Amino acid sequence: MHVARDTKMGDVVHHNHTILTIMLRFNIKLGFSDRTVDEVCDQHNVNTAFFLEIVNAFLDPHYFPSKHLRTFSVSLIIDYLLKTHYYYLTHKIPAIECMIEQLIKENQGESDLRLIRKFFKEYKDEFINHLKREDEVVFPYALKVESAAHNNEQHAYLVEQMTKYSMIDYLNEHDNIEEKLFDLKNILIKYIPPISNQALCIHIIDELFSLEKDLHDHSRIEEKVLGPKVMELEKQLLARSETTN
Amino acid sequence: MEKVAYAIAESVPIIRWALSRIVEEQPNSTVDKEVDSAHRLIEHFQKHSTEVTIVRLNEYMALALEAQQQIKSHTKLIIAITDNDEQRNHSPFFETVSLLDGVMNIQKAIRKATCEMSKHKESKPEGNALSDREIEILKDITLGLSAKEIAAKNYISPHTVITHRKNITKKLGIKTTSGLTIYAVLNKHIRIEEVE
Ligand SMILES: [Fe+2]
Ligand SMILES: [Fe+2]
Repeated sequence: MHVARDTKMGDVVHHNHTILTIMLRFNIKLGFSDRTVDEVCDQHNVNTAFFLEIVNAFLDPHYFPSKHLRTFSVSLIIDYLLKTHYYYLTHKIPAIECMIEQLIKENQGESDLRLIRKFFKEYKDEFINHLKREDEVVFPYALKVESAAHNNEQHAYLVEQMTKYSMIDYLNEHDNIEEKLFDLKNILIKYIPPISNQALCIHIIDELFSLEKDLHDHSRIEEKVLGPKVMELEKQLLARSETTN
Repeated sequence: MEKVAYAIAESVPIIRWALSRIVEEQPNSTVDKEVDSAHRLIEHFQKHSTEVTIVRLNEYMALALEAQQQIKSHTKLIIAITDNDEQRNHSPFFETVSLLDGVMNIQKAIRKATCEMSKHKESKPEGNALSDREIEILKDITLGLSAKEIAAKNYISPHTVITHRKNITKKLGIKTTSGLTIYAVLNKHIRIEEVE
């Protein structure tokens, strides 16, 4: 399904309800009546074109209009990335954490399962550090670059900063936070002792798969959209500083 | 899961036939070899092994100690059959059942033996099982040793250690050290106390 402006929002959800987690990030609320995507986005002050690209990329793994996505502003892209971070921290991670706690509680006899909690705790710490670095260093830098490029601001200090840290460094250091998730999934699928509450395990596995997919989409935006876009702006700034000098 | 294999040594054809049928009727159990005497059993065990052996008690006891030893080393469990009620619970036997007891007891003994053998089977990972060497390396990795340290400890090159690690990851589908640790503990290669 390719979602368009005039597609009914309700139909989109019926087609694939996991899209609701995207709407949550855009702060779009349920109760669509028969409104179209365009109408619902308008109602919630969401950029329809941007929403459509994100939703279509989510629905079709082969559809990733990176060039087109780069036409949106850095601040719009970062706003979405930040909201996604917030969604991970307030929904995804706590949900998995809570289920792992329950798994341990229900299987006191299987003391080895404690290691799964420890493993996830380690993962969570790594994960939070990753998001924090983006929130506090990378995104603010990207926003500064955009604003300098657009407003023709005094940007000598930024050019100076670029020699120490720029978008290329971010892309090089940007690590894959899916690796541990992959391991955890496999441990649950292949190696966990036969505990009685299988439904709980299935829930956890389900959440892990969904987080993994989401993170994949998320990193793709960071690496293929945000990164190149900011690098383009950096180039403009550098060129300008060379002509002024 | 693979079935547990039985060898039956029994000289009376009708009893041998009955024992064989009873084994086949039990879940996860199959007859691998039928012979008509304890002596033939020893011949068979010169080249083969079986997980469970059913043998007449008096025939077994009549064998020389050496021959008994040979049977014991080629089978994991022995079920002894007696034709009276007296001789019970001889130590080398997993179960002793009397022909006078009726079918139920024999069935029960076989199921118990199969169950016991299956436990050992399940604890071994199938298919992509790690080699003994890989298990040793896995333990060292989970204890936090570096590739260099592992190499020195096992008299191999660091390069070989890295190859082993790659193979372990490929076989298990686990990439991170903490993930490998959980695997090693769940599979009893190391104890949780060693890594906590
Ligand atoms: Fe991110
Ligand atoms: Fe990231």
